[in-house]
Amino acid sequence: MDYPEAVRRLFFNPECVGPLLVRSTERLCRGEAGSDTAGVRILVEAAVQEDQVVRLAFRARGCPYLLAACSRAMVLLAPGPVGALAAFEPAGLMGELGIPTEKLGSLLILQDALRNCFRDWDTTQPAGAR
Amino acid sequence: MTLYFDHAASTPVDPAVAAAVAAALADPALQANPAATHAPGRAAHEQVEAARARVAALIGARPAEIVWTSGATEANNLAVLGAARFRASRGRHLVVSPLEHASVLAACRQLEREGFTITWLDPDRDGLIDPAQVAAALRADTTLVAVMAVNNETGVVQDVAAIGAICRARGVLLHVDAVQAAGREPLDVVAQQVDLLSLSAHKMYGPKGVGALFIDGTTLRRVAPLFHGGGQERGLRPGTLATHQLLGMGLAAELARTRLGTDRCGQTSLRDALWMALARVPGVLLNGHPLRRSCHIVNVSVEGVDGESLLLALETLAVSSGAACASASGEPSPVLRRLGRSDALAQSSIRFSLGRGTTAAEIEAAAAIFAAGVAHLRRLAPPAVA
Repeated sequence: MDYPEAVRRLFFNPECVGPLLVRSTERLCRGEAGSDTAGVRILVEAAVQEDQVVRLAFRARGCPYLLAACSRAMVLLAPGPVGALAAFEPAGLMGELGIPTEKLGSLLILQDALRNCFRDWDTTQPAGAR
Repeated sequence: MTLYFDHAASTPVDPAVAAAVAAALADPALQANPAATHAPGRAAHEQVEAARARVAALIGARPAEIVWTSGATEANNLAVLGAARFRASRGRHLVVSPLEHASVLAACRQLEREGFTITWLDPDRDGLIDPAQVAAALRADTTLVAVMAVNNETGVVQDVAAIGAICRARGVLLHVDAVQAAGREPLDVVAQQVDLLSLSAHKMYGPKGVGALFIDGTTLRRVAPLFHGGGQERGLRPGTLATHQLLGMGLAAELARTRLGTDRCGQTSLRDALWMALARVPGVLLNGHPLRRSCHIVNVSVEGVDGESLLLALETLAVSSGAACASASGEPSPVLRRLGRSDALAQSSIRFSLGRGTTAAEIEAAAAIFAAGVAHLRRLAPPAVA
């Protein structure tokens, strides 16, 4: 199968691969989605300081498109506001990396993992801090 | 540079075969229709018959029992459809291995649409068919049994002779797809009591686009043709014969026969060396029987990695994968699923198939590429769920 150059580059040399180490001033938030039986599983880890994602990392099992998308999403979302994890939409990445529409299902699992990561941060915040 | 480990899909044309085919194409004396009665036609005819004799010798048959086809798909269709339809008045029941090539399975499904009944055999977890199971499946109205000699995905070798003896004793025809066996396993249609046997040239270092079907002499006039035309091949497969292709297949068959011992011995030791090297990677499982296997195939599943990613990680190896099967059909390999592998393991399967030109250095390099590819994907993978 021929893959777009960007997908190949990120597949063979992925950025932001976990596990993530956090400093004492940072909080480690985690979001997981998918399952091994379904063939796609993603773990996203975020180092968060107040409401800012300082660093993001992923580990994933899935096709080359998914691995490339995970890597690219980590770069795009960190550093940045933690709310951006919940707002992530895969359409932009699909266009940027040339990901075919039949792979949308895998990217929705990435979306779930990012949202779960946001939730992990959000549920521990005092009501006024959200 | 890509290391070629896909000989079960297609072998490179042997240089001697390529030279013979090219020479035949360039030889003005061989351009006539081999069915013509004039001198150039007779010259072409002689070459075709010499090739037929060489193919027959490979499997212990008589030349008159060889019918040329366009390849194994056509040979399998002619065998299954032709034999079943011809004998439909005697019975409309077949016994078939579910591990057969798609061309046999699809022909069987066509027969089901025509009102035939199929009893599907149940291979064990190593991919072996118990001959006793074949005997138990036979009915008074059974006309054909189909079992492949060497499985194209796993390389598992079936006990064709035992199944042949059962079928012959019950007056039931046995069809054997021997595409992967030719040149790798001894074939003798008389000793193994086979009635129909399919061969493909390009799986034994011959050209693509040509194959053959052996039809036992007593069965020869009891197969209904798929095509209708000029009466070539005794009406079983009409159409002008391609002299150069047949000549190429004939030479390939001759080489397969004379080199069988050497090829088999060399590839067996390389196959075992490859499996030993692959098995050092944790979570690598051998698919198919560990001993009853052909010399040229090692099929493994890899735990915890995605098949499509594995294939890309191994892009410098020309191998076949369960992921490739899945992308074509949308389903994991039915053969590996029948062997009890999960969808995930069937999808993460890789078939290495060796050939005459495979070297020990290539085995070593392939094993190293495989280990590195699996390690890369496992570094990216999330920790196992407790």
